[in-house]
Amino acid sequence: MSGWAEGFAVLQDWSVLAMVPIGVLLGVSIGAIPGLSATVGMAMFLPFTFTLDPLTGLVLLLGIYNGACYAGAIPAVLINTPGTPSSAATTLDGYPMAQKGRAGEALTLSLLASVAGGLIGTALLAFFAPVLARYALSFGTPEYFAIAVLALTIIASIGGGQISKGFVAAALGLLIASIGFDPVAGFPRLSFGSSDLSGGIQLIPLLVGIFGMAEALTQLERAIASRLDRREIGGFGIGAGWARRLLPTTAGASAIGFGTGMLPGVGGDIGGYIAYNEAKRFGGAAAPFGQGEPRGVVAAEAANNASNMGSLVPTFALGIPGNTQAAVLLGALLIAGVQPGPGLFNTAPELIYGSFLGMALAYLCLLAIGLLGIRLWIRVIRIPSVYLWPIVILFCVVGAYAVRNTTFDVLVMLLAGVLGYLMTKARYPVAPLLIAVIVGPIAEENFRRSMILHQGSYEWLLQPLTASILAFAAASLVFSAWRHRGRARAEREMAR
Amino acid sequence: MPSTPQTGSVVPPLLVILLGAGALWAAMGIRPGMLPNDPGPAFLPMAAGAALVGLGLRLLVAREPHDGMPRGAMLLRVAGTIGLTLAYLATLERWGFPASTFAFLTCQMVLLGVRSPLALATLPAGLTALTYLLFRVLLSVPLPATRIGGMLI
Repeated sequence: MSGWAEGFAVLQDWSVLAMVPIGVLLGVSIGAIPGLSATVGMAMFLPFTFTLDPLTGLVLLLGIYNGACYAGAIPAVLINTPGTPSSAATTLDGYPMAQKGRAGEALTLSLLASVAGGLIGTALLAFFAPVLARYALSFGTPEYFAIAVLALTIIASIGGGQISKGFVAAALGLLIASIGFDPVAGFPRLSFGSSDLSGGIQLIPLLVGIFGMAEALTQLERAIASRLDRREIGGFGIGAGWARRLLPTTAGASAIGFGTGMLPGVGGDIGGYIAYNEAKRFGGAAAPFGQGEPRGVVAAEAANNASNMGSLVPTFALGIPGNTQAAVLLGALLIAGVQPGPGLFNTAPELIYGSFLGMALAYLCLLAIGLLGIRLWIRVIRIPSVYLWPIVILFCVVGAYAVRNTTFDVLVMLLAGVLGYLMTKARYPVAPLLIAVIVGPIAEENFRRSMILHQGSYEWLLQPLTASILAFAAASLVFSAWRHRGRARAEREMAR
Repeated sequence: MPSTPQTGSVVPPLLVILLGAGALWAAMGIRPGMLPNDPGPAFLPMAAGAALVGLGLRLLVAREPHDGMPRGAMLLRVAGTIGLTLAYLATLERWGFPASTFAFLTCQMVLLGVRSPLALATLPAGLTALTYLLFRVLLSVPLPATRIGGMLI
């Protein structure tokens, strides 16, 4: 039986199917609230997947991911505040449309573009991931070490802000990953005689703390007043003419978004901005981009949804997370006892192809839920923060406790939350920390095994593919440093 | 009001350097690997520690801007939330999930400015019951329960 047939067969289970609308509904509700990103939502609900089988849990999280990515556009259009970072570019034309009384039209466009971008991205993912996985089956320890270094380098260097701070976060993640038994010899490290630490820091409490708890602390600093006024939303129809005119923008932006999403660390926000700029360039000087141009909304939304699917290519094919949301998905697999990587395409094809089909189904479900509930999601933005954030903290505590039923994990979650909060205040990105916790052990194990296999010689670093990947990592570092220097110079000149 | 950007604090880079130095010191106590040519279990913490020291020194020189720490009411909300979560953690197994969760939610809402007696009575109770049902009943997560706490549900 082919992988697709196996995937289709497992997806007929009602418990898996039921998770599609549940996940999408949760995701839309989460994404519509500014401050609650897809990552926070997925981290909050990750503990719910403990009792589910791997595919059911994965489908739930993918539904949340897809739903939240779309719903981030709702506050972006209505209050000029992206609900999730990936919807940042949507504000550029979405909010001007709302100011002109065309919010309903912008919301419909963002929904259709999200669904189209997501479906195109899913199709491309289903095509590229198996190809890469087949190729990756021939990878040895040197190549895996190089890929892990590439992921770490890119994520740390493009994470925003100063590059050194990204690398500090990554080094901190490597230090956290060092706690517990080492992956080659099995010796205890940095546990200081504590039985709780000897098993290592559990990924889930760390993840829930660094995203959920830290975000709650950041948001609780200030009481967020709802800024949604009673402005005219306008009709939700877009007309057949517009649909035809927007198709090329949707297709092009989806391709750009997917391509950028495949690069580790390049999130939907960057993909959205790149696609927006390209749409603007192709639109010509006469097109009113930035003043409420529908093609701007479509480009940003199609690209960020396709970008999210692109980020899943290295996740499924190599077991290396492409972004933080993918890291949460990998965490769900690891908890379920599934070892992510190219081997999964042979050992558990139903899981991989079931996920692809589940994603496509989630986008179709999103179309229905989005169209039917569009007026309801607008109200979600008005939930007062004084009620919202205590609920988020409660879920973080219960989620961390549920891992091993121990308060030690809750303490880890709280400390991770405080660390994430302080890092945010000091403008250190937190994403490299999480990625380093996941990728660090992969890099360490493959480095040490390569050294053992090659009798202590470093010649394996010069193998063509390994050297090429490492050279790409170095080039990305140089490029980021150059870009940062240019930006700093421009800021200095503006200050004068 | 969100905190305004501030420049040049040496505290974060110094903390990074201290953490890195601590990691290097702790890594020296890890016993070496037994496999030939294995860089050993201390390799990763050593590398991370050295990187933290080097990067911390770099940031100490650069003195990059950071967001100001919260003050006044903002600080009270953040510190109060951390304190309440710690108290929740301390009482979770002693009082049981229902009682400790109800107390935590009530105190947290008061801290955030909710003053309506009706909201303070119904919302924490409803949320506690809902969370208990979701995790304990639907997902079979063994949440801590005592006789007193269990009577609330």
